[in-house]
Amino acid sequence: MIETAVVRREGVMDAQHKYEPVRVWVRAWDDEADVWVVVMAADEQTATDNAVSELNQMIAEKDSN
Amino acid sequence: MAWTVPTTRSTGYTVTAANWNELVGNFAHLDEVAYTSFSADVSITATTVGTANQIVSSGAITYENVPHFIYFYCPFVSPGTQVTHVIVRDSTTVLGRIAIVAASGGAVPMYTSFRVTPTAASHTYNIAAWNAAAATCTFNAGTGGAAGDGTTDLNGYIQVCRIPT
Repeated sequence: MIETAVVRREGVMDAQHKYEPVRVWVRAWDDEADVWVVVMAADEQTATDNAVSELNQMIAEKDSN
Repeated sequence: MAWTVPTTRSTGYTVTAANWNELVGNFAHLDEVAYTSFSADVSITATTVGTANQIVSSGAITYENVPHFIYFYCPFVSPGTQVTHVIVRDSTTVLGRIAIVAASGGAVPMYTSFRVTPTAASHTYNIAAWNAAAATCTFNAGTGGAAGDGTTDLNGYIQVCRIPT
């Protein structure tokens, strides 16, 4: 099962003192397949989507070997 | 992943994937975990800890259960007429006071740090402050100035780093 978590952030507090992300790093991993990847993007959703996509590719490559 | 004390190898040693991954893990350990800047002044007007004004937040991050340092910097704190308590919180849970600003004192910079070993879970570390009674204390910050401008504040920040230990 693929799991994800935000493991690193860069952000700013805007003029209203609200948190705004600048760069977000998401780790995606699959313990069963013993693979993980960390992907950075400008927002959490994009980073998560890209990390899951990349991890799926890694799992597929691993399965084909 | 946790920091691994590096091991020296002898000539002729065949490096394995496990050796490589040990180094990968150590380099990843040295990554900055969080950095959030603020470039606008934050006025502290709260008079209770429960309503403390947030100055800067790291945002929600899933932490590893290893030692971290939390650093907070503000170039210019302008005290109010009452004592101001500066606190570290995890979301809204107060972890403790990290600094105190004396009442009616001179303007000072603030650079503080705090070591914490979080549980392996999501945490939102943030810095906030409140006054002992009605007053306004200001944490000043800016975007820095052009060349030769020595009076425009730089940004303040919260930074979180893992410790290689």
